[in-house]
Amino acid sequence: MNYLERSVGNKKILWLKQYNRYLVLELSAYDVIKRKLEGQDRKIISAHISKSYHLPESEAKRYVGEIVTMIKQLSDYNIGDRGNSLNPSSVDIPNHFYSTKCYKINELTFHVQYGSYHLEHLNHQKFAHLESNLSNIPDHQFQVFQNGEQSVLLVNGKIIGQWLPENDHYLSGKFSMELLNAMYHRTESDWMGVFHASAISNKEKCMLFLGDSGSGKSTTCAVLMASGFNLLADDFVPVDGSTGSVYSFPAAVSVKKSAITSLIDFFPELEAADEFAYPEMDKTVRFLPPVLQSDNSSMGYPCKALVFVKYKEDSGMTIEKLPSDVAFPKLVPDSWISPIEENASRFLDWFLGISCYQLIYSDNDRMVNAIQKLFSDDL
Amino acid sequence: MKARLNEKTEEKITRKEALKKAGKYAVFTAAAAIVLLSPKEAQAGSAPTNAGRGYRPS
Repeated sequence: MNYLERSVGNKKILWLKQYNRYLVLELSAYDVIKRKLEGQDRKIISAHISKSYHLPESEAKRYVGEIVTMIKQLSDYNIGDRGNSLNPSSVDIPNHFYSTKCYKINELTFHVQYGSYHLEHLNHQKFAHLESNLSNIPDHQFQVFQNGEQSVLLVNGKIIGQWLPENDHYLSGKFSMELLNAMYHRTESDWMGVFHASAISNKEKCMLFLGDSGSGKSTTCAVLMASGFNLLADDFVPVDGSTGSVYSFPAAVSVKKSAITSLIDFFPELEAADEFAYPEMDKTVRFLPPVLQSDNSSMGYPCKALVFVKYKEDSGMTIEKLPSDVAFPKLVPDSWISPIEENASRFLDWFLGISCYQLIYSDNDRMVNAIQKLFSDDL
Repeated sequence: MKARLNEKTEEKITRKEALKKAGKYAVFTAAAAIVLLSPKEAQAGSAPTNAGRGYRPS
């Protein structure tokens, strides 16, 4: 099958396998694309559209032409993870590394050798709370170093990829992905997706908090964490391909300088925490290790809701249901979703089975109360 | 930021112009009828791109 389709409200969602792209369509546009995918001739499609939607023939022809052109242009997009494939013989593994860190995660030990201060700064801080004494025989070894202009990631001796400086965030993402796979004894194809979100659980179900950078999702989850919820993941939220369950990822919460004041009462340790400046992203952060009320970090949790959050001064608190066809375009562009058909199918069903909300707030107590009610279906 | 805003404004004007041109059939345009969404090509972190490259002795 070269496409998947689902209904959402009075629209259709199509996933095109060849391009790994999602389209949200008015029914007339869906009609055109579906017929084109089935191999119908453009003239026949135009005639059908003209008749079915009461359009003059010229307008139907124009409409069909625009849509077909748009689909053809999809082939101009490159699909790839910007981590170029690398010939093993072209990589010079350094004899000396800037630092070696040992992390303990889920009873596994990871040795990570960083080739430079920059590469350590990029990846280490959010895992610093997991640091442990170096062991004789680690379960996994990661090496991150410069190879010419690009940074290379090796995991257990296998080259994972290389990235130019402007793609450092993809290196960071792949580093986390490899850590995730090792933690849960999986491969990338086992995951439905990884979301740029923060996730909390009540030990039975979980919620994802989404929004643009600076919208307040990490701060919201930190407040919820202080109120008794478990933080599952911050910034990097993995979802299992076969069950749709959300899994934990042990990176610390990065708290922006602007949020420190509102969180210091909940987490006094933030006052003394080291501060890290990221001038290229125009932000300064401190890291807050996740708190687990009970440890069953190998479990996944079903997702109760997707909450699109916006902290807005003096707004009190409002939370409203968001229609799925409105939420879907907010979710997809900021997410890595597996391009494997089974996972894409799982993603569509997963998303359409979850309620979405828009949360705007400034009052922490009211926000916590609303989330508690949402979990218990009392909202 | 300003450049990005201008790009968005320009994009909006182009869409607006296209829809205006289509007149009463504006809903039957690719721009109005289709939202194209591209997921990220790979997992990405919210990470700095330049925090002082190069070896810094401890």
